[in-house]
Amino acid sequence: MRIRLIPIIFIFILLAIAVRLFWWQVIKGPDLARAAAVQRNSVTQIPAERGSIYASDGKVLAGNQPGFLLFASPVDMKTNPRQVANALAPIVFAAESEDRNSFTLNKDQKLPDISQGGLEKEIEDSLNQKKSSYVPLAHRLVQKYVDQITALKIGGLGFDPEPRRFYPEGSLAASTLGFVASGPNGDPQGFYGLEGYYNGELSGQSGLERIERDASGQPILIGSFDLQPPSDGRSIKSTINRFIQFIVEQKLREGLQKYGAKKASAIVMDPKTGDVLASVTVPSFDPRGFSFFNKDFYTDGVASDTYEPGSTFKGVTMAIGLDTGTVTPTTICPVCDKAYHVADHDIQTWNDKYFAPGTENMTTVLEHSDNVGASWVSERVGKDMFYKYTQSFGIGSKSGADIEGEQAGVFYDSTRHIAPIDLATMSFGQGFSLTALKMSQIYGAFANKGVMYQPRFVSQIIDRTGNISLPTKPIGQLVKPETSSTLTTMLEAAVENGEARRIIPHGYRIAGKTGTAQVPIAGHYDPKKTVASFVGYGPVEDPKFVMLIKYTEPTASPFAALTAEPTFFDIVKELYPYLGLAPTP
Amino acid sequence: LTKEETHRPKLVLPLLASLVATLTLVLFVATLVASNTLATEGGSTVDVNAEVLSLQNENANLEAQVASLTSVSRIYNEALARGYVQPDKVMYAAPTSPVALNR
Repeated sequence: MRIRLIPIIFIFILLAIAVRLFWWQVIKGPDLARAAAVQRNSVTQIPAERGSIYASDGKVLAGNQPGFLLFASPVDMKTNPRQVANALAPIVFAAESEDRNSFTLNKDQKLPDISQGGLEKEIEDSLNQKKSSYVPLAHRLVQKYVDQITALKIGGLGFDPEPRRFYPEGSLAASTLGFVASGPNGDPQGFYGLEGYYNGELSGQSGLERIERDASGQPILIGSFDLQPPSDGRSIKSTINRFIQFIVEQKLREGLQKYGAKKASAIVMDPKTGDVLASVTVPSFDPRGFSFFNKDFYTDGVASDTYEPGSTFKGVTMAIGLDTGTVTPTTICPVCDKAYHVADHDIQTWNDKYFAPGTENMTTVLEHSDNVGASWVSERVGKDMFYKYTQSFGIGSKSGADIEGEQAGVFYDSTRHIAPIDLATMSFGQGFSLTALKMSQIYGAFANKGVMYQPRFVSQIIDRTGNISLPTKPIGQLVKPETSSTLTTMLEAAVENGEARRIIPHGYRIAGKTGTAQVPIAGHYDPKKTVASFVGYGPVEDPKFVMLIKYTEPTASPFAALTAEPTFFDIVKELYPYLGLAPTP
Repeated sequence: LTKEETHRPKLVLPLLASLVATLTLVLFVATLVASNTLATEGGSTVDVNAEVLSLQNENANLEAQVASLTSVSRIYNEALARGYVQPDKVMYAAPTSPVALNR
């Protein structure tokens, strides 16, 4: 009887095994296969390389350099955290100090102190998170520091790629370039300037690598392999000439200090293409350590800061007067012998000085920067025609330049709200605002036979398939070529016979105009604060550049003729030999 | 049946058994060798990838170094350090033709 039971027991056992096998193989089979695949398959994200930004000569302004994030896995660490921190701190301290020492700081700026002891404590605290398997310890280390840490042979430490944005020219053109920081998803993202405007082009798209690995993490050669390669970001070639940028930046920093200004901006543009050759704002920041700088310094003041242009706008008023045939260079201003009465207001000259009847013509109106003469011209042109011209110049609109944060400024949206006094003040640059970029664009048209170009900061987009050249964009013929030629002669006279005639170097034929505008505050003008600017182009025979210099609230002198204009000519003296130009003997 | 004919099946069976055993052994060894090779080659692939990455990084670092050395501020400071000074006045030569060309 017992013998007979044995086969029955075996049959039951076999049945149980068969049922269990059916359960694992058939019912749970797909789940187990998936779980095994998850264990075996490793998926790695391959970050796309961010595109570089080149200067007009093809040299790198912002590129990439390998960098590494040092992390620890305290769970796997066998060495005492204090000993590890003690060994790592000097290396991490050296790496951070090297970075910080390379930053270009603004005057009187100091970086918050770091100490080796403080770093050691921070590292030790991080390592004491015993249950963590991933604790970042130091960011964007360069290879030599990675090698030093690797040589310590401390288990439980590792490195992840964390590329560094690299700026071989340091803080040069920082406000034009912008910077790269972590975006909302933790991915690198460009902010401000070209990094911000062209972020879509520069970023690229990361790829994925799926590979089967064995228990020790080594790839299985006959296993499945799937690669979606990353699409690297495109590079851009800017129109910035790094030599001109360097000259202008250097002179503007000197000027900022010399004239005690709160801020200074400058732009140099090629009037025949709209290419921005230099764009400077100081004080600025260093993109390598942007977080240590005031956020107000991040914007490109040339494109983002609006201001009342003041007397530099008299050049525009005169262009309208000439182009409409209302005035000629010799037209006498019949009202320039005293303050001009407009709708219960008296328009005065900047120095309250007036001219004998019949002696002030349109050329001398510009030379003397005569508010009365400019008001008279605008009145003769008429509100509707004057407004029509300002609209064709694009005043109150953005220039359309390819840079993040460009502002349009404030201007009248129709002639309905322009009262006679508004037209009068508008003629000498009060009551509305624009940017230095827009103003230099308009003067660029005067330099270029009346044809205005859209300013541009980038001339080429470069990817693996080749270069895409971006076309220059002419906006149109704003004033007749004759107007441009006549105005140039008048503006040249304004420079040669203007307030700053004694400081102007001989032989540099420049057409330009100063502007000293008061700063509007809460409905009135601050009596002490000014924005001093000078905009001009040269050489007048065949203009190669248009340049605008602007100081905000200079304290050494409120006048442009004593601040912005000398800086302009300091730069011109360096620009001429660089551009292969010679002053007229 | 002769004496030889009755002995033949007895010889075939052990032969077959030893053949299967040998084959199994060979296959076992082959599997062992293949697994070992795969594991080693996987490691080599990792090593080669690491070397490629290291060379790429080294290349990028060298490019960065060259870019830094040719920066305007570095050239400017280097020139100053070597005693070059900016001229107070730039002299321009008149663009007249050489005498020989006028003849």
